[in-house]
Parts: sequence; structure tokens; C-alpha cells
Amino acid sequence: MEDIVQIQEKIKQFVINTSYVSEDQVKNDTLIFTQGIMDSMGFISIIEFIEESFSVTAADNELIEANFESVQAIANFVLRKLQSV
Amino acid sequence: MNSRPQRLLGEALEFSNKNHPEKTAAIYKGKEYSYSDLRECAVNLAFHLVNSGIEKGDRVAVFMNNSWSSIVSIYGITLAGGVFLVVNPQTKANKLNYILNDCGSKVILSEGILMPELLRAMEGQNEIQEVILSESKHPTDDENFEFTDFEEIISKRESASLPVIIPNDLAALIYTSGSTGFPKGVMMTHQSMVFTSWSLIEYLRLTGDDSIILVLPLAFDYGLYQLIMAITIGGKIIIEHSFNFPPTIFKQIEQLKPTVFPGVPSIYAMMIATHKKTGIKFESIKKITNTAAALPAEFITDLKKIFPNALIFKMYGLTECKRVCYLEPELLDLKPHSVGKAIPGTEVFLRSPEGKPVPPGETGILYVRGPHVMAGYWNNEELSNEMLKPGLLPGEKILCAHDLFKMDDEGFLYFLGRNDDIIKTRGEKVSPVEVENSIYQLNGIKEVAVIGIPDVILGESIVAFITQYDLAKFTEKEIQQQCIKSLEPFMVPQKIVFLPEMPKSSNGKIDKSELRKIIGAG
Repeated sequence: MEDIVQIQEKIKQFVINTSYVSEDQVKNDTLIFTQGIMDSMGFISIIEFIEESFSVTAADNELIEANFESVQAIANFVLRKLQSV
Repeated sequence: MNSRPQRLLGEALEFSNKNHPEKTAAIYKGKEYSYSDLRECAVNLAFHLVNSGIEKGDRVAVFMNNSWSSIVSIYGITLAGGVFLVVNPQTKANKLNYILNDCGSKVILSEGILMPELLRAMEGQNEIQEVILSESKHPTDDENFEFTDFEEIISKRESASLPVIIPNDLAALIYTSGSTGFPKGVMMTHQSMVFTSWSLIEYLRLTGDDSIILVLPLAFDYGLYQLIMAITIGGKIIIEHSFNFPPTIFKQIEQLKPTVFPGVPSIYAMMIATHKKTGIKFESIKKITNTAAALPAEFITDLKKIFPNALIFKMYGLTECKRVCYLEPELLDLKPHSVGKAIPGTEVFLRSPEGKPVPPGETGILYVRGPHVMAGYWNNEELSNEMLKPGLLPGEKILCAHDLFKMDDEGFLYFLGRNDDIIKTRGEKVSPVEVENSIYQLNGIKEVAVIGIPDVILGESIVAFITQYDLAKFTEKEIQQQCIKSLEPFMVPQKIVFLPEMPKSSNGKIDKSELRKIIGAG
């Protein structure tokens, strides 16, 4: 299983590639939705990305901003899901 | 009920407060605020602004995310006799600086989280006398930076006397993209905005029982009028920052049961995608509205499933008169491609480029007549004269929308296209020149041409064509990264096409119609 740093890095690269921001504009704790780096279409693409890359499916009650607000939050969420399997 | 008619924007709040002070006016982040809360806070702010030297007609900028503070700001400024302008919180420093200089705002209301951008925008600004900050806990590096605390101002009463305003006075400037690459401030008077709000309330059949959920920015006139309508009818507004994280909005709708959902096609597309996966359905919603880009006819079936109890309003407008027309929801299937007829109390007609009347079924330029038409652009007579033309009566002005329409024999309007370069994407206007200028800042770019091409979801998507000098080898991503430094996210081109040579017309100008052919949209 990948460790948290690897997961974070993958997600960060995905966010950078799907948005227009550069490497230095996305830190692990940057609030990607609040700051408008990702919009509603970006949200759908993140859900699809974690499904494809980590086989993690978010349940309805897990679709809360706290789980997706930053690269770090998404990585923590993915790791929790992977560990609970 | 009041026996006095509403003449000024701020009177809507006064009247609704008088009629039902305890009723909920706004919900923000789970907290409910009554009409008396809103009035109290707005009056406190108004008194402070007057004591700070704001006089009738002075411009006051609001650079905030949608929030309780932003709605208190709008009503506080208007009660103080000031002219409010709401700036999109995603605006970058250079454009914000331009807007602040253009309108000569003396006071700016903002919030802590936006400080970095605001500080950069204020460099070299000396007209600004006071910065009022909401949620100011985010520190700045500059210890000498002075600001007043918003929350403190709205919680205590100073003494002052408010100026007398009349309906002809300016109420707001609404900045919109212009073909010159610089935004223009659309001047709206109190009488114009009061008239428009009642016209919209009438055809949308809104009542005091309605509750509107706002996910659109207040800087966008479509968003701003949701607030104005809610307060005017004594209804409720549920304020959200944006639609960026849709599950939050879906939960809010389920919990708070709003009755009105104003959206744009990109929002509806996202909802339809979610509906197909999870079957989301919102039964509380009685009305949904769409403007900014045409609602694709194929969306209607799915929207009826998501909002089984809702009337669907298709509308069309431009900031210069707020709204032009709407289609009665009962006619949706009968006139699937029409955007309807003029809003109540106004009229529209089509003319040829030579100014002659156009018969039914033929293409013409749209003209709009009514009290909703802007007073002009702030500080820009030349551009005002391009839009405002002599009307039917001596001295009267009517609005030339520069949009091409046809009208059927029953008077229903059909949008055909624009006759200028402005791109409309995600409901926002984008000036190609502004995007081109941003890309030209990169060293090694030879020529840039930006166009909009039809897109089902966005209305138009933005494409930039670029030629480079030999050595420079930029990638699509690098161009987009350059754009995001100075432009709002919706202005960044979705596609970059690198060409060895720009197609030119015989007079040496870049031939945009040739570019359309290259991309297959010609």
C-alpha cells in the first residue's frame, strides 16, 4: 500500500494538471475549493481520480468538504479508506 | 402594509423590517439573521460610513466572498447614500487596481482572507481613505497596515445623519468586461434597480414565502438581484460562497428547503451528471431560473426529474439593462428554442444595421427600451454612446444590445449570436483583448488571438491561438498558468492552439473567421 506522502504527491499532481495553477501555488494545505482552484467539474474529476487510482469510492455521507478541502484532506481520506478495507 | 411606494433600493429593507422584523432574512453558515438584524447592522455601517466622510454618490467597493458581511455591506452602503460596487473575490490585483482607480472608491470593504490580493491592488493607490475588514484575523506582514474592524462597526451605533437620496441618484456600479480589454462600470440608478427588481419579482411570481439559495457571486448582476429580490419581497436568502463543492449545496437544499434555485448551464450540467449517478432530487424547489448562456433543450428532461415540482424559467439579459426577456415556463415545450418576450414594463424591437425595422423571422439587432436600461458607463462617454442610442422620444435613450436575434410572428425572441468579439462563458463576459494582453506578457510570444467557440455547457469556451518566436517553446499548460496569474479562473482559455503563422485578412488584421474554421467552428 502507498504511504501518505506518495498519495499526497499523486493527488497534488492531479490537481495541478487539471487546474491551471503552477506547482508553487498548491501546497498540501491549500484550500482548493475555497480558493477556486477546483470548481464543481474539478470535484467530479477528483472523485473519479481517487476511484481509478486508489480504488476508493466515497459514500454519500463522506462527500463533505472536510474530506476534500485540500490535498492533505483528500490524501488522509484515501488512506483512511484504504486502511479500513 | 406600507402606503408609501418604494423609491430607493434601501427602502426594501426598511419596509420588510417594518412588516416582519423577526422573520428570517438570511441564512449564512448555519446561522439565521432576521430582518431586524440586517437592518440594525446595515444602519450601523451606514452611520459609520457617513462619519468616515462618505457623501451621496461616493463609490464604495465591496471585495468579499458571498457572506453575511457582504449583504450587510451592500445595504449599509446604499443607506449611507453611497454607490456600491461588488468586485468578484477571484479578481486579481492588477484588475482590482484598475477598478478601484476607475471608480475612485474612497472606502473599501473586504475580508481577511483576501488581504494578499487587496494589498497588492492598493499599491500606489492614494484615494482610498479607509479599509474595513471582516474576519480580519488573518494577519498581514505589514504591521503598519491600518484597517477598521467590520464586526465592531456593525455591532455598535454611532450617531450621524443620513443624506437625502432621490430615485435619480446612482445606486450601484456593476463592472463588466469590455471589448477594449478594460472592465466598464455600468451605472444603475435607484429607480432603475427598484423598477427592475419588481419586474423580475412579478414574472418569477415570487412571494414572501419564497426562499432563494444563492450560489452565484454577488458581483454578477444575476447573483446580486437574488439578494435584492429576496429582501424586497420579504423572503429569505440562503447565502453560499459558490457551487465549487456541490455536495455541500445539495445538503443545504435538503436541509433548508429553499424554493428558488437560480443557476447557469454549467451548474445544471453538473447536477445532471450527479443525478445520473445518485438520483438526486430536490422536491422543495418550486422555481429554477437560467440565464447567462442558453439552456440546452436536452437538459430539460433531466432537470424536470431533479426538480419535479419546479417551473423552469429561461431568460436572457445583459448587464447594461440587467434582463431583457424571459419565457413563461408553461411555454417551455411549445417554444423550446425561444428566450421569450420582454420583461414586464419594458419593450424590445429588432432593427437592421441601417436602423430599419426588421420583419418577423428575419435577423436583426436587439434594442431594449425601458426604465431598466443603464444610465451609461462610469467615466466613459464614448463607450456609453456605442450602447445607448436615441430613443422614440426626444432625449430618450434606448439600449442597443449588439446581439443578433429573430422574432417570430407572435413576438417571441430567438437568440442567434453576438455581433462583437466579447465571449460569454459560464455566464460571465470575457474580453478577448484582456486574455490576449495577459498572454503577451510572456517573452517570446509573437501573436495571440482569442476567440469563443460554442460549447453546450459553458455557452462558449475560450480558445487562444498563438504564434511564437523560434526560441520560445511554451506548452499549453504554461500559457494557462500565465493567464491565471492575472485573470479570473473563468477567463483562462480551455484550449491553446499553436500555429506557425496567423491567418490575416487583406488589411493585415488577424482573421478570426479563419481561426474559427481551423478549430472547426466556422
